[in-house]
Amino acid sequence: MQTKRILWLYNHSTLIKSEVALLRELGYEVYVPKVIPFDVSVAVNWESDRLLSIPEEAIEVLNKVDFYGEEIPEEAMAVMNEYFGMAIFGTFIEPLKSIAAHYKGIMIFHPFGLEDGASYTETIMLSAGIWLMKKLEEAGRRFWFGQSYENLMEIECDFFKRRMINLPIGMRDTVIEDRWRGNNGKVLFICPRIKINTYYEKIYKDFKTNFNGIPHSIGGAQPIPVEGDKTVLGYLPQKEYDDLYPSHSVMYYHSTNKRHVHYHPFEAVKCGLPLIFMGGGLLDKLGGKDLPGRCESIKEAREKCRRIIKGDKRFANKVRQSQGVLLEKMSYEYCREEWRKAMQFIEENSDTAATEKKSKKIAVIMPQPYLGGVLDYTLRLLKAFAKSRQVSGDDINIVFAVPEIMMPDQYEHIKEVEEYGISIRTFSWEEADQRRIKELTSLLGYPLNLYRQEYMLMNDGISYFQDCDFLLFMADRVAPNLFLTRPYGVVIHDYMRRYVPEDLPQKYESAIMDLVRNSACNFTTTETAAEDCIQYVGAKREKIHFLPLFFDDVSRCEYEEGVKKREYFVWCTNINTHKNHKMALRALTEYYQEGGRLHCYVTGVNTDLFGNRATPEGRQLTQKQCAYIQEIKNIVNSDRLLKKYVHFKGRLPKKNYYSIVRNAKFMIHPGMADNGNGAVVDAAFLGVPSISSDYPAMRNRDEALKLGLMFFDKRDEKQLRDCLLYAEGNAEQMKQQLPTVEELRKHTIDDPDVCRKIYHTIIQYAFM
Amino acid sequence: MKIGMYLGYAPYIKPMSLKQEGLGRYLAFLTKGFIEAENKLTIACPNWVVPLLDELFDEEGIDTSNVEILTSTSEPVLFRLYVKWINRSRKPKIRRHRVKRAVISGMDWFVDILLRSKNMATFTLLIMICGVIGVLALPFLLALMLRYGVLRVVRLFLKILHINSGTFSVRNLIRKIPRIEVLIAMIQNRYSGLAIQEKIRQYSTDEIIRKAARMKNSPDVWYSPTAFWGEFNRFPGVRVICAPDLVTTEFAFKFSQGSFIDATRKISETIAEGTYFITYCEYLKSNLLLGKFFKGKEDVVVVPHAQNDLMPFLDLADYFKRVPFKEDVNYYFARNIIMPGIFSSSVNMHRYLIQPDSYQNFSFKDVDYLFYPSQVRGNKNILNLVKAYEHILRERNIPLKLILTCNLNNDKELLNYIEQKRLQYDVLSFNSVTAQQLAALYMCARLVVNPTLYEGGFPFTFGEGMSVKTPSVMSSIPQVTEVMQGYGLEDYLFDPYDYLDMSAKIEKGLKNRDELIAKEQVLYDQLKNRTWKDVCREYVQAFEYFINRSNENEVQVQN
Repeated sequence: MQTKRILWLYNHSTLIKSEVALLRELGYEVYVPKVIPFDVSVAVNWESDRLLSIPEEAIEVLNKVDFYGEEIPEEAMAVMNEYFGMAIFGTFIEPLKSIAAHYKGIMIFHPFGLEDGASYTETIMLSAGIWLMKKLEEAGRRFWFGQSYENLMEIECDFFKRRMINLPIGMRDTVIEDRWRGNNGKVLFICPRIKINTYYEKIYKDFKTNFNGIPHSIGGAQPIPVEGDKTVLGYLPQKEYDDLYPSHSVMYYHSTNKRHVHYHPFEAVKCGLPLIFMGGGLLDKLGGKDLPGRCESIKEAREKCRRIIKGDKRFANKVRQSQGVLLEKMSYEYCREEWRKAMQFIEENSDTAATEKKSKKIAVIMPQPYLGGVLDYTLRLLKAFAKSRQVSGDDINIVFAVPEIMMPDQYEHIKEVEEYGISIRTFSWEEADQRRIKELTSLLGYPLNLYRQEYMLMNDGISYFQDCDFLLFMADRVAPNLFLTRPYGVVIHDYMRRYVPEDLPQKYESAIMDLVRNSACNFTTTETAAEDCIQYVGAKREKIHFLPLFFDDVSRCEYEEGVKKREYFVWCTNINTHKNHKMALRALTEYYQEGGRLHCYVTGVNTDLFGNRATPEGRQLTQKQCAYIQEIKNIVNSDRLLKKYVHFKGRLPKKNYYSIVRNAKFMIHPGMADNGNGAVVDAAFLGVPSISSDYPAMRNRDEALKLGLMFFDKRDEKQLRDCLLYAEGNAEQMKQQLPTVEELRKHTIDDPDVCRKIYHTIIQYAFM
Repeated sequence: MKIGMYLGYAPYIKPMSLKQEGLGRYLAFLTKGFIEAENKLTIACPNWVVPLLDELFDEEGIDTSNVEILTSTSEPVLFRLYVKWINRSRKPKIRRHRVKRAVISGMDWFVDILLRSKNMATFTLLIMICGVIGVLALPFLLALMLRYGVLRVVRLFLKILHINSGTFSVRNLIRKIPRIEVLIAMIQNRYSGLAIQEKIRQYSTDEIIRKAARMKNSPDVWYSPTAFWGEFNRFPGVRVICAPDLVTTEFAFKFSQGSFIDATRKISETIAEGTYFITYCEYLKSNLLLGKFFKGKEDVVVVPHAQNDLMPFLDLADYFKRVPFKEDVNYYFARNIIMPGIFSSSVNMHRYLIQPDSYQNFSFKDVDYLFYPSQVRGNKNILNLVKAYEHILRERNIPLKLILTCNLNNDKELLNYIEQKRLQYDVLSFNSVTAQQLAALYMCARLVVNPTLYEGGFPFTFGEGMSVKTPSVMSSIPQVTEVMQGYGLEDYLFDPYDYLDMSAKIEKGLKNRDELIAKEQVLYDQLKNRTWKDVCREYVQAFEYFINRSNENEVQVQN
């Protein structure tokens, strides 16, 4: 018979004794995590490793994994899939995502109950998104909800209800050994971690008010001591600790929680300490409503405790004799029988093969009708992704989604991706009110009350992207309050507005941040962008993954050799303020005043408007942009030299643009900040050196590609002027610093390594 | 020695606690220190302060058997009633909608029967019964309408007549009568809570001073831990006053927006009339007491504070020895405290942020920030700190955040600046955090920056930061330099009036953080050696010195 192995992904110190033993008795080899969570009642069981019949290296891999706070790494997941047919786990969201997406064995979700009013369905949806529930449901007969108490299911969604099995939690040993003396005349109340957790702090404070005037001690671990209250015992030497329960007259248990109970009331029962507890909680399910220790009110509890403290032995014994019933369903034997039935049921009814969906689909989405760098980058990425998919042979469909308004004008431009087997789809934003979202989630099977009034959907005219397993946004500018039911990732370019403030309406700013913070993963190319993503947006570091820098090989593009009319350099820009035009123009003025004689060709979307020939009619510009254009125009017109030497070309067809760059002496890039400028790389491909303002992303790019850039301070026009004067005389020398085209090609999609990296990075983190 | 301490707090209307007051903690330290050194302590205070003291001493675990309380008889009946009325418990009304629910279920039941009746005769009968019931129930319905409807109708009526646009109440109705409002305003001004409180306070303090004068075994020295209470100068015997800063006069332009005149006047008067003083730093001694108030050099003694250790709020290392944690457990704990939503003890971000909506799921796990815990005060220089931060972020491209603890809404100028420069996503403020949350914020900061222009002594931020291993860069003001000189830390002190200098020093601190910690550790170890016990011993020495001096003076006068 095949060895049955199971991952038991907890470190709970009481359960580790009962459940691990129980699973072993049922014939399983059990793995227990070694990286503990931030909790004080945990234990590590190293012994379990010895009993595992798998290679030590595999165990080593698992032992390094934090099964509580982090996604499970690929390597560990491979071990889990290879050696373990089952996993039992709780509600730790990050590992849960990995398990749902990548684990191929039988999944047993085994939670211990929440506060009243909270359900697991809602907790999962609010912390991860609906997609995680869908993912679990898609696992079909591989997923089971093993409830610890029989009433957990009452408040869960239908899907959980249908997968319900009973996996009661209990204690290793429930034999009552009466050690009670009860001679110290005090109530024992257990409340650990008062100064760590406000949940316990509140319980502590409530108890202090409710039991004011009754002698008591408060037990439980206190990693941070509670000053000024001598009733809080804190750390006790072993001997005193052992005597804690027997010496006290009575224990009071406060919780009226319907779906969660602590262990200490059972410990009390076990050693014969009379238990006075509040009715209405989970204990009622175990002992009914007639136990003499049960109370309806605080007043009643106080009275009962007082009676026992004062020495009412008859009452104490009545409580003691009746409370044994509470342990019945906690007993090892009872639990073992229930588990045996449950595990047998799971083994007979699970199906690990049938639900594996073979073909996957990824949607690459351009959220706005970008025409410049973002579009170029997206097309490149699509091609690289498609190429590598071909090589890997994975069955993954790729959809390229663009805003409807981009079609049909831009179709010519983007249709080239169709050759790579990528299908193009358009979409538009669609408003949906709260009611519709509620209906939508109900229809999906996980009704959710959302608090916002308005939401946005992405209508692709087909299925609202329901057919796609993963969505990849190629920029973060989406409509506010986007409602998605699929896991998604975002490609981050830069956070320029953090450095160059820009008037972005509050609603959009929030939308952008929300999108990135709540995504399953984010991708970027530079440390700078990643750091901003963490510091500014508040995304988690573990969720930011790096894609390699890669470019188009423009050296192969068509261009006209053209006869040089005059000598010039190129300034590739656009009309955004962060492109630092004013400073650059000041520098140019000084350059020409100092005798500089190279002409300056300005290219880029709408830059022709800076000159006198073009008019803004027919272009979509905001008032602010128009004002800015006018301002720049005035600067240029008021200076004779600028008027003479600076030529505004605007956006050019690729061919013309490359021709202009190729014939230039050099290129300048005086921008303030971004995630790295692509034009200087194009220039390098064409054998043209560049001068750039000094900021981290450009430094980064210079190092990665060895571009030999000449840097200047983005605020110091004198430095730029000097650079220009130097470059005019030394352009040839600068050219020699440039890398060869072969070297540059290592950073293009012609390089299979680059493509593979891109493909693998996205697939690895996509939760598909 | 027998030490007398005077606390002249005004009676409080809303429940109050000394635990949160800065002065309260200082008081606890002093009391503890005095008693432990086996001095006898008499605390003279109005009777409403007694329960506050009990609570404070209880909290700090102070044995009160050696503390004698000299207090006034209880406060006037009228005042007690007033306080009771103000604090009367207002139970929220729970609307159960019992009637509504009963009516609805009755209707459901009736419709159900109607739908089930397939026989015309039954149907007619039902309708008839329904009619009869309706007629019989009419008086009840009318009564119900009277009970619930009339008030509403009256309100509606009043609303239509524009008599009252808000909620209906007798008070609002009376206010509508001409001249009454003026009268109310006049009465309110004359007998406002504050004015009445001050009157009652005076009656009690007079009584206490009379009692103190008649004490058989009176203390060797009387001490007032603040200069707020002018009547202290009427106590018999040797009197020592703790002289605080007079920041309001130093920064009059800033403080002129608040109402600080009364407090400033009182402190000035108290100091002017007093004889012997204790201050927290040399600068205040020479500048304020000797310079401004022309006190004698021999009549002022400097006793600096001890440092606050914040580590105990976060120290779990001992506990986690049992099962090794994957990283520095204290730091992890601190990070979790400032991560919203992870821990129930975490900072409730939504309460503090300008735009809480934009901070959903914000992860503070890896966020680097500069930290300056302070109130909004004219001398704190927060705006310049924000400017320095802006320079660091936008000109120097260092991508961290700035976290404050002041309530930004109290400083419109600052708030406007932040919003105008669109820094609201990077300059955050968590005000009124708990001591534990404060400790966590200190621990996770890259640097503590204290840009203050003026303080009453060496700022606490240095020691609080270093107690959790976070270094500080600070203003180069006399209160700071007198402590910091000689430790090679001059390079990390900046001119608080020059934000570029501030930003340069911050950047330097960030770059050389380890070196800075090493250097500041030397100073901190020195400062740390000085405990509150030492501080108290110096107080007692100062008292002895003043008693001798007073005796000498008397002898001189007699001669």
